[in-house]
Amino acid sequence: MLRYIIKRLIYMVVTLLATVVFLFTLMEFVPGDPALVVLGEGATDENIVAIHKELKLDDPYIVRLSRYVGNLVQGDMGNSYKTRQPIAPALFARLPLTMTIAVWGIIFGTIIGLVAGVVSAVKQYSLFDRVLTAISLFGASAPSFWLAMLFVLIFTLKLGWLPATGSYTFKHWILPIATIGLQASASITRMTRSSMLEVIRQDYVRTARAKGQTQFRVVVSHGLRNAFIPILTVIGTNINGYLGGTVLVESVFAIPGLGNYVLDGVKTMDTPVVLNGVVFICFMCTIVTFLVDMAYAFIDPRIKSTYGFGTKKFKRARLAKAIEGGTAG
Amino acid sequence: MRENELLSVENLEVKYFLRRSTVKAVNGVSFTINKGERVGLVGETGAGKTTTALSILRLIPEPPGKITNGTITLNGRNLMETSEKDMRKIRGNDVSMIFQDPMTSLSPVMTVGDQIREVISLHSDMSKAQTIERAKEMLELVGIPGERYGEYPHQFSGGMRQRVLIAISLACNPKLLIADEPTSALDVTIQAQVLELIADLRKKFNMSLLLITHDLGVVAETCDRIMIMYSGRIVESGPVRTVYKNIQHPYTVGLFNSLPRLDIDTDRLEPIKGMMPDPNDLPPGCTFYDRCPYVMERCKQELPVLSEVGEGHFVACFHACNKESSNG
Repeated sequence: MLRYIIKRLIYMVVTLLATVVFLFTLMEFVPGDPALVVLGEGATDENIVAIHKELKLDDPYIVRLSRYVGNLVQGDMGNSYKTRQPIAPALFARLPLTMTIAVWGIIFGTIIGLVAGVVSAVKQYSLFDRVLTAISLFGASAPSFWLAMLFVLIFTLKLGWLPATGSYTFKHWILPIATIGLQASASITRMTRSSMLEVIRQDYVRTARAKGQTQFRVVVSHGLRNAFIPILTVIGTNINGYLGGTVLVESVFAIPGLGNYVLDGVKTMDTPVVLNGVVFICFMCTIVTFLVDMAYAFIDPRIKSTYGFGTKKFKRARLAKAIEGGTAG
Repeated sequence: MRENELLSVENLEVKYFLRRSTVKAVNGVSFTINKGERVGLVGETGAGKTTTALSILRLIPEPPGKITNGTITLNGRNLMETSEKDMRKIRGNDVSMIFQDPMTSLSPVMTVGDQIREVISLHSDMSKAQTIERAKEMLELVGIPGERYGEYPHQFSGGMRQRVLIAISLACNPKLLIADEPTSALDVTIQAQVLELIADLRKKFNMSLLLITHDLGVVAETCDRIMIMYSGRIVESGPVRTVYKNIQHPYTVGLFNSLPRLDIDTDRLEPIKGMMPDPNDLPPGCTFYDRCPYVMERCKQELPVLSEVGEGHFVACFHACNKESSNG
């Protein structure tokens, strides 16, 4: 198991490093002089030179890259061009709001997706299944910002039930959470359904029935548990998808979260903000991926044993016993 | 109902309703199994053996399958009228089943011990510790060390997994054990071991056994009575000795002829010519007529019913019955 964890951790670090280098390089191609962004219109040549010196903008690419990575490892993300304030605290200040909405959205999406997917699979070809399949296809293919606008149109403009923008009260959170939840549930439903359909025809499900197990337990502890690996992958992808797509949803609902922070950076050409925002989102995605990988090992004992989950001693003991007894299991 | 009778199946019909067609899997099967009796059900793939067995437990996947006719009586109780809740108390407790493929019949994410424990805790009031103890006992009984309780199926070989499945099916001392080709998926060397284990434990617990197989040799060794099934019907049945000595139905003859023999020097096996008829579209008469060497005009029109040709020996064939009556 330790080997598995270490392997995943190494993957995670390598992925992150590659992402940082790639993003940093990408930002190099952003046109315009950063000094102009800092100073605004009407900057004098002397000021521009001074800023270049202060921000060490004239250093070679490789020097700036290694300085950036070095600082990043220590948790220093540098300063915003626009506000001249450190980026890291500003980013972390916006994190709770984004996380709250993301986590609730994913939780609702997962619960709805799992229940709907399981029922849909158990009652395959029923009216419920057909309607659900249509809805989830719609939910999975509609872009999140479009869905968000549709919700605003219906619940704010037509019905007037919920506020469209801001993040002051719980009421403000309903629409963004619903948007994320619906999208997540759509893909989770689809994966749960197809994974369950495959599992439910397996011989071991029949074995469970032949034991006299109840339908509910057959479906949940024998069916769903075995169907869970692909579902878990989709849940992980959804969390990552939301973290990446947070910019869109947050901008529609004007939520002052991580996404909007990055978006503001884009609008004002504040490259350090954009760079660090995206790096941070990537960092969270790799953590989610890592956690999903860990969860696989807990759900599927075959993964655990591939990486020798503390069985070396046990195996050796058994081998010795087998040789002694002359018969191996 | 006779005193000694445990299970009685009467005129069982099972159909699978597919989108474009209706598959007639079982067409009027009747038989009884007495207490402590060992019955072999033989037939080629698609003859309806497994469907018959699953019907007894009412485990036919529905839809598309459905028992369209017949009664199944277990210990005087009509299973067709038993509620689903009561059926659950019967499954695994009074009647249990060993399935064909041990590689896929155990859940890969549950320890083998828990899978045995599951059936015990469903059908008894034991505490958790007691059920674990009992599950370990069952493992020992089928020849697996109890300390392997916490291991997963992928850590076992096919033969060992079949032992685990046997432990599951016997954990609640069922009155009837249905073994559906329990050795087909195993190595030849393991087959004998597993069969012996089933035979031993059956004797120990004095259970009735319904052994589904296509191996006539296995039936000869382990069963008291044999039933031969063809396209959803029983075509010949009787005590093993009687039937083997005096085979009547041309299909059974064909089955025996297609076995490899050591006492005759031949290069080729003799298969039965042709194929089993399409279960979507069964002929009105005898379903074996176009493969039968003794086919008569009557066979194509009329369905032969089982009639007694010897002591407890039944055959559904006009040719065999004619022969018998002209002889006697």
